[in-house]
Amino acid sequence: MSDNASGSVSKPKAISSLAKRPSEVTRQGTQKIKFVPTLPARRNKDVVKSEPTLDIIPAPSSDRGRGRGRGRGEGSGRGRGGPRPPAEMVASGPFALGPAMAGTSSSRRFAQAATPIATPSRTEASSLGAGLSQTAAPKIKQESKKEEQDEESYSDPDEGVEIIDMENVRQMDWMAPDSLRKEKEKRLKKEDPDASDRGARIMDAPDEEDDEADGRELETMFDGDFGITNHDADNVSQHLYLFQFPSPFPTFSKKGSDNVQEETPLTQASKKVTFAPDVKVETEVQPSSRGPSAPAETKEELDGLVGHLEVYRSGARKIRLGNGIVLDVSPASQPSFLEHAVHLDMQENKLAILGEIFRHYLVAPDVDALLAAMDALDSGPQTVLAGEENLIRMDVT
Amino acid sequence: MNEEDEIITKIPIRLSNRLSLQIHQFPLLSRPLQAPPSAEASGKRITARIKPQSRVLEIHVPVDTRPEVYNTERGHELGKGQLDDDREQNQERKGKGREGEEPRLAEVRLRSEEIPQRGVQMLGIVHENELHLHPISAIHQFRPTLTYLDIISRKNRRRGGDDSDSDSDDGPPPDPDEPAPTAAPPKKEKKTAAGEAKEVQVSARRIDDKAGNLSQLSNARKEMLAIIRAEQEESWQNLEFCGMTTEEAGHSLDQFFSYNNEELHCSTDVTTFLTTAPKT
Repeated sequence: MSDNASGSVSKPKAISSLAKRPSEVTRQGTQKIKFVPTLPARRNKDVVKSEPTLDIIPAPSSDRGRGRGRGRGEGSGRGRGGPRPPAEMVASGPFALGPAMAGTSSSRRFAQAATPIATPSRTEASSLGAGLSQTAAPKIKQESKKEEQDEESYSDPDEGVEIIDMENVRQMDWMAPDSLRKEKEKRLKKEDPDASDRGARIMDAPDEEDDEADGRELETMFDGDFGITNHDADNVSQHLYLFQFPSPFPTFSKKGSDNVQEETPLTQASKKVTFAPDVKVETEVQPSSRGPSAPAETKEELDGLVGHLEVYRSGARKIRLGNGIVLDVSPASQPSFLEHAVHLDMQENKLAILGEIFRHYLVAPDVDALLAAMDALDSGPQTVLAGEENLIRMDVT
Repeated sequence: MNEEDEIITKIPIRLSNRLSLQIHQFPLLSRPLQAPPSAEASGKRITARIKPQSRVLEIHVPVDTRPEVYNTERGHELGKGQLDDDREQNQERKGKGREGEEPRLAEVRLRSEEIPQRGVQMLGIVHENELHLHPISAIHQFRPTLTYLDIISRKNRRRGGDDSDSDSDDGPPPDPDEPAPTAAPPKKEKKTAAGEAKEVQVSARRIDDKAGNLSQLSNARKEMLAIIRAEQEESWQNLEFCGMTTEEAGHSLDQFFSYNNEELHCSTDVTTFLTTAPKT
C-alpha cells in the first residue's frame, strides 16, 4: 500500500495495474523499452583489419540524426542495424516479389525468392553483424500484407553498440531466424484494410494466436477463394488448392462410352445428356478422342467438364457433379509447413514444381442428397409387372 | 440448409489426369524451398534424385556457406563423413571435378517418405474462372538425412574405445533387425558389452543372418529387411529439378489444365461412397 517513492511512477503500487501508461507505449500498443542495456562493445574478430573498425564509429553517429522516429520512412521495416549497406534499396520482406514477377511467363505470383544476391561486402564493418546481407529470406504464406509498423524509437545507441529490433531480426540476413509473431492485442488495434479478400468480419479465436489465418472465422476467410469477392482476381487465379475427396472418386469416362476403353475411343459417339438440369451443357467443340489411351492400364485419360462448384450467399460451397452427386466443400485443417505440388516426369527425368499449395479443402458428400440416394437405392428398381398391384412386395433385405 | 440460400457464383469444374502429380511436404514453416543467394551466386542449384522402384526421392538443397553463418572446419569434417557414407552406399557423385579440395558439407539432403493417402486428393487451380482438378498420385514427406553422422560416430567409436568421447556415445543399443553395414564394429561392441550378451542374443548372430538362422526372424521382419535391402541396392537416378519459375515448370503447368470442352459422363453415384468398401 505504500506509495512509490520515485517520482516517475505516478500510479499507486497497490493495484498492480497492467494498463500501460501512454508514454510507455508505442502506437502499436507494445511496451516501449525505456532502458537500453549497455552491451559491451563488440570485440573485433582477429581477422578484422583495423581500418574497418574506424568505420563503425562514425556510422552509428551518422545514424543518430535519422535514428529516431524513422517511422514509415523505411517502408520495408528493416531493422536498424549498424552500418548500412551502401545506398542500394534492397527489396526485402513481403514486398520483394515485385520485380521478379515480371520475368515469369505466367501471371503466377508465388513467393519465389526475389531477393537480389547480396554479396557480403567485406568492406563493411567488422562487428559480428557485418557481412550480413541485410536482406531477409522470402516468406511464404503471407496472406496479409504486413502492416507497416512504426519503427521503435530507441535511445541513441552508444558507440559500438548495435541496436537490433527483435521483431525485425528476420530482415538482417538470409539465415536470420524468424521472430515469433506478436500477441493478438496488436492485431486488434490494426484496422487491417488490406484484408479485402477476406470477409468483413474478423473474429479472433482466443486460443489461436500464431497463425493469423486460423484466428478468424473460417468461412469468411476463405470467401475470396472462389470468387465471392472478385477483386484481385489475378492473385487468386493461380492459387493451388488441395481437395480431399472421399474415396472412391466417381468414375468418369468420355461421353458415349460407359466402360473403360482399351483402344482409341469413338469419335462420334452419341451424346446422351445424362446430367441434372442445373449442370451446364455445352456443345461439343472437339472430337472426344484425345490422345492415346493409357496402355495396359485401366487409367483412362480424362479431360473435360465434370460439374460445377456452387458458391452460396451463406458462404457454403458445393460441388455438383453428374448423376446427382452433390458434395460439400469445407476448409480442412491447414498445414503449417510448406507443400509443393510437383510433376514428376520419369520419361524426361524431370521434377517440375508447379507451386506451393495454398489451402486445403475437405470434400464430403452432402448428407441430404446422400441419404435420399440411399433410400432410392434401397427401394430398388421399380419394375412394374403386370398386375403388381395385387401382389405383395417381398422384403429381401 | 436454408432454402433461400441463393447461388452467387457457379464455377465449372474440369478434370484431367494427364500428369503424374505428387505432393511434397517439407519441414519449412515460412520459407520457400530454395538455395540461399550466396550459393546461387556460386552456381549451386537444388538437385534431386529418385529411386523409382523404392519410391524414394532425395532433394539436395545447397547450404549457405558464408563464413558468418557456416563453420568451415566442421563443414570439412562432416563433408568427409558424407563422402565416406556415399562411397559406402555406392552413391558417390561421379566426377565432381576438383580433386585437391577437401570435401565440404555443402548441402542439406532431404529424403522422402511416401505416406498413404486418405481419400482421393485432388489438386485444384482456378484458371479463367474455372476450377481444374487433377488427381494426386503420391504424397511424400521430406526430412533431412544425417547419415554422415553415423559414419563419423562409428569411426570415433572405433578409435575412442572405452573412453567415452562426446561424439561417440553409443546411443540406443543395436537393433537386432538392422542389417550390419560392416561386420567389424558390431563385433567390438559386443565384446565390450559382454554383460548384455544374453539379452541381445539375436544380435550376436547378426553376422551370419543372411546365410542361415532365418527362422529366428519372423516373416514380417524378413520382409522389412528385404525391403530395406532392395532400397539400398537400387541406384539413384538423377532428376532435373525445375523450380517454380522455370520454363519447364510453366510447361508442366500448362499440361495440368484441362482443355477439352466436352463433358465427361459420370458412371457412379453418390451412394458408391457408402456402398463401396474403402480401399485399405
